[in-house]
Amino acid sequence: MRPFKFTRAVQPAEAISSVSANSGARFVAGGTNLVDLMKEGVENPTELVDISRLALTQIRSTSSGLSVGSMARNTVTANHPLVRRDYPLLTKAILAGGCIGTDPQHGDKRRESAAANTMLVFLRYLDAVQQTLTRFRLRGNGRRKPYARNFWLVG
Amino acid sequence: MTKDSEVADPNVDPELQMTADEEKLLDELGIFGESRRKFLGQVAAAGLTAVAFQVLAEQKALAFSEFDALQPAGLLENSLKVGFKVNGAAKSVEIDSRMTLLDTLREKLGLTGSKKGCDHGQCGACTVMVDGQRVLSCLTLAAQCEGRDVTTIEGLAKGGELHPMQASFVKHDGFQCGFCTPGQICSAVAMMQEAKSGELSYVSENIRPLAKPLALSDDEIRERMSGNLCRCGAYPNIVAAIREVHTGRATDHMGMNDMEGSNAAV
Repeated sequence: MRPFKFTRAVQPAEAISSVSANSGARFVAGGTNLVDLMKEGVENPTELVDISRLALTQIRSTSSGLSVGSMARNTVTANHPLVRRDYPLLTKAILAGGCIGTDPQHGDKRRESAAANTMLVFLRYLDAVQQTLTRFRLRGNGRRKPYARNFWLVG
Repeated sequence: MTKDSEVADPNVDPELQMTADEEKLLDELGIFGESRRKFLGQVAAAGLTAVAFQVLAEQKALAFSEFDALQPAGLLENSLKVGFKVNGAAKSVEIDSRMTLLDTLREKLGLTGSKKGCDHGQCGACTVMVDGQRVLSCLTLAAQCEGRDVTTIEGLAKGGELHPMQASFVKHDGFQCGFCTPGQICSAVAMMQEAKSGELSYVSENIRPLAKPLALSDDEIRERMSGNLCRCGAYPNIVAAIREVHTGRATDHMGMNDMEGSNAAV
């Protein structure tokens, strides 16, 4: 891993100004994706700005839908009463989220991911929709056998 | 092959005696008689010394954490001072910003219970708890743990008493080589808490009802523990160990005394 300067942001504005002042700077939240990529040399930031403590974790319903703070952790979002009640498929999508050989349930990669990773969540959402449809088609009654995509890893 | 009975020493096993051409070779090399024995002795001694040096080097390597902890600050690039709680005790360490929580625990604090398996968040051997949540310490920067409360496998036993999960792993043989075990146990302990607070998993049957605590089926346990790999394949026993702690009832690895396997949630 290349050396980098580490700073912790207290206010969103401060985080934005630090990152915009340095083209080699990156935000780090949970860090579980970025640190992994940095170990492999895929990402080589010269500065990391820790935004994991910014108070952007609120989840609330709005007139047009749901607002999820960009620092809301995936498991928190998936288990939020509002999300579970009104957006169960989003819950399902996040819980299905272990993409690259990792597992969503494990206290880790995706658990710590922030919702800012919107695109990934969206893809998982589509994936879950597809899986659900497939399941309905295959089994007719929507009742399913417990199933996890990563079981091939653990046998 | 020349017969060399004329130089045979009656006290030595004939099998081990040298042939004349071997003697000649040693003569040419200037190694014979007393000096040869001395030479062989020296070779043996040198070999032992090499082994001794290796052992010393290994001991030194193992003692590295203590040496390193005493190193003066300022030798590191982008050094940071990080303070956090580890197993209840406040710790302050001077680290390079690149150091992961795992490396800090193992190399700065001498807590080698947490293991480095893949170092890429895929095996779960490095799992520890930060503020009660399980995290992969190999992908967590130590710098981000400022002020956090870290619990490692070393912090689970209290006053010489094993944590119930540790005792259950021992009882059910939830391991063979044991390398993944610290991560498995930390993960399992945190996972119990997640079930208690009603957190869902991918195989949870019902998403909408906010039930807590959750009663976990074996499939639930397997799914929730699927981030922790065990190459020995001790999974049935690991599940049994966790099931016993979870249900509070004695069970075996077939799940015989339990809630009839995976359909418990119906």
